[in-house]
Amino acid sequence: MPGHLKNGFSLVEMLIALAVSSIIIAAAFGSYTIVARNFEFQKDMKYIAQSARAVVDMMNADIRLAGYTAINNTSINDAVLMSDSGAADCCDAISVIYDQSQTQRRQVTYWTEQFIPGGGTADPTRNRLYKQVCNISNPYTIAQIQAGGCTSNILEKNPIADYVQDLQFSGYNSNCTEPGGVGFGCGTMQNITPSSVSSLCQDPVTNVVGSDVDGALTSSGLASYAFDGNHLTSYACKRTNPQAIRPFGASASGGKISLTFSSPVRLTQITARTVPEIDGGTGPGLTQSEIANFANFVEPYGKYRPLWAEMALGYGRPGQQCINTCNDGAVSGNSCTNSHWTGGQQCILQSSARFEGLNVWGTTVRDMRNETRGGIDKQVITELDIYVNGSQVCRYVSGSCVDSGYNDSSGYLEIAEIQLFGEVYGSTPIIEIETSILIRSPNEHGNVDRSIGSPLTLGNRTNTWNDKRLRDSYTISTVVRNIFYATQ
Amino acid sequence: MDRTKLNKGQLGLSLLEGMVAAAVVGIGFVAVFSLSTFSTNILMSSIDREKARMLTSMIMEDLLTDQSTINSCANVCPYHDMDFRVTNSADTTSAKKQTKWHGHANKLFGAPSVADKRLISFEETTAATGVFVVTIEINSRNGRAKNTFKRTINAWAP
Repeated sequence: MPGHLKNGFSLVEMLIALAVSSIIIAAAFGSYTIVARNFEFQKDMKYIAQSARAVVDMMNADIRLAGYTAINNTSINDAVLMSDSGAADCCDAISVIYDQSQTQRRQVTYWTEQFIPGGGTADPTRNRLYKQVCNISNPYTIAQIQAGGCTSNILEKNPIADYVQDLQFSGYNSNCTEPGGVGFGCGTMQNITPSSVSSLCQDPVTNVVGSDVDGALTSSGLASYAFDGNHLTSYACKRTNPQAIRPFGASASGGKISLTFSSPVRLTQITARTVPEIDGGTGPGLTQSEIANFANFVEPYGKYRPLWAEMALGYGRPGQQCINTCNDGAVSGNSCTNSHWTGGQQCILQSSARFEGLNVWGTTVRDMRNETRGGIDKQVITELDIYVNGSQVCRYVSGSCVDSGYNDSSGYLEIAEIQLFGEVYGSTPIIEIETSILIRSPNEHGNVDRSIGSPLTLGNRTNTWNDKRLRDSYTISTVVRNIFYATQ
Repeated sequence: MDRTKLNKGQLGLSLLEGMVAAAVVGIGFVAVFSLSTFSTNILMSSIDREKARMLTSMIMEDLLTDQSTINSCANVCPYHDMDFRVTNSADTTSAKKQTKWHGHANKLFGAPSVADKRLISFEETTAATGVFVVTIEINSRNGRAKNTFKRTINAWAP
């Protein structure tokens, strides 16, 4: 065959070239497929991450604000509402309430609704997460919100995430070992009402000339009158009563009021008041500085009802129950903190010690959180003795209050009102909200087993799956700061 | 050997040239494939960094709720060198928080491997000022995703 006719490819060459080209094209196609699949994978992972991040940050910001009350506004009782969907169904819902301003109180609610495509059936793994903000005067329940309540004052209602498979909220207090357990911050700060009040020395104020000249005082004598919320009734114990006893070796006798509490309590504040004003006449005011100099009164202000009273608190006596005390062997004074608490010890204050000098002038509020002598705010008690061991009225001379009737042996030890405030144990306040969200990808991906991670338990619900969708979960907790600081 | 003279009509590639060319093309494909895998790894590390940022914010918030303990961090600080890869069963606030953080980290990143790190350390900026630099190290993905966060706490107690 002539040489110039041999410029083409032989069959073998063509086959080899075809094979090589096919390999290259197949490799290129395979590479493209891998890259494209990776792109779809990354796109969906990014979707999950961005959705979760935006939603969790948004919810946490609202949860942190729960309970915030603008100055002079009424307090918010239930700053955080949660509804539990149970272990079988998706999803939980949460509603938080806080003041946006002095005139606007907001209720922000997050809940999910199952997505139903047009003409299709509901997909239990695809829920849309909604956020609704309402201006409220009275809070709605979550059920009311979900049923379309708050239509007239709604500020916004938007879906903020899709493909939510699960959303769980849990409220707890990680500082407390158990719900209702005893420990700093594990109770509820509130006014404390004793379950029983008694005294062996209870004497109605009688035969005091000029007593109750304006008729305001309605009843006197019983210890319970000091805790009835009515300052026009008073506890009184006549000094000559044999049951008037000296507290802790004090020089003067006192009327002892014995209190018991149905739940263990830790006292942080006591408020007491005398009621000199009900005698009639006028005084400069009811603060200590205004009353203490016994001047500028117009008779008979404080002439019959005490201007001043002294109280002593006693606890830790034999037979009293001290549940948890400050381990004062390791620390001293008011440096006792929750980290120094130990259980099962005796109370620091025994019958030989006392908290003294609670001087009551008019209305007196005593914060006991920095009490160094007794440390009563570090003790958890179920019983308390309150001694009214001083009571002082004016002795008017030429129309001026010159000194007290403190030494009047036939006088009365009297106090109109006592109010206790502190931490009550039995139900642990929720200070942390744990938010868990499980989001799936919109699309399925390849033939890879995507059931890794299943089953996944979030909150009180266990999720399982065996499809080819991507999933990721985010669990994070937030401190409800307004509630936390209220418990301190 | 002078191939141009001996094989004037043979303009194709030699086996060696062909193999080199195939190797170059192969390297190209591997590079593209690696790029894709690499970018996926970066994305996963980025997601872990975001989760670590969330966890760090939560830890810092929790630390601030235990001010009385933080005040002691210049001397004996239970939070210093705290490794929350493990739980702590002690009945103290810091131990309870350690257990809580351990649980949250496991939920976000899975159980830690030996190469993973979950460590908190405290350093007082100037002695007796109560101002601490808190360093939180969270490594995940078998140590491949390394994240270090530093925050400052003013724990001065009057």
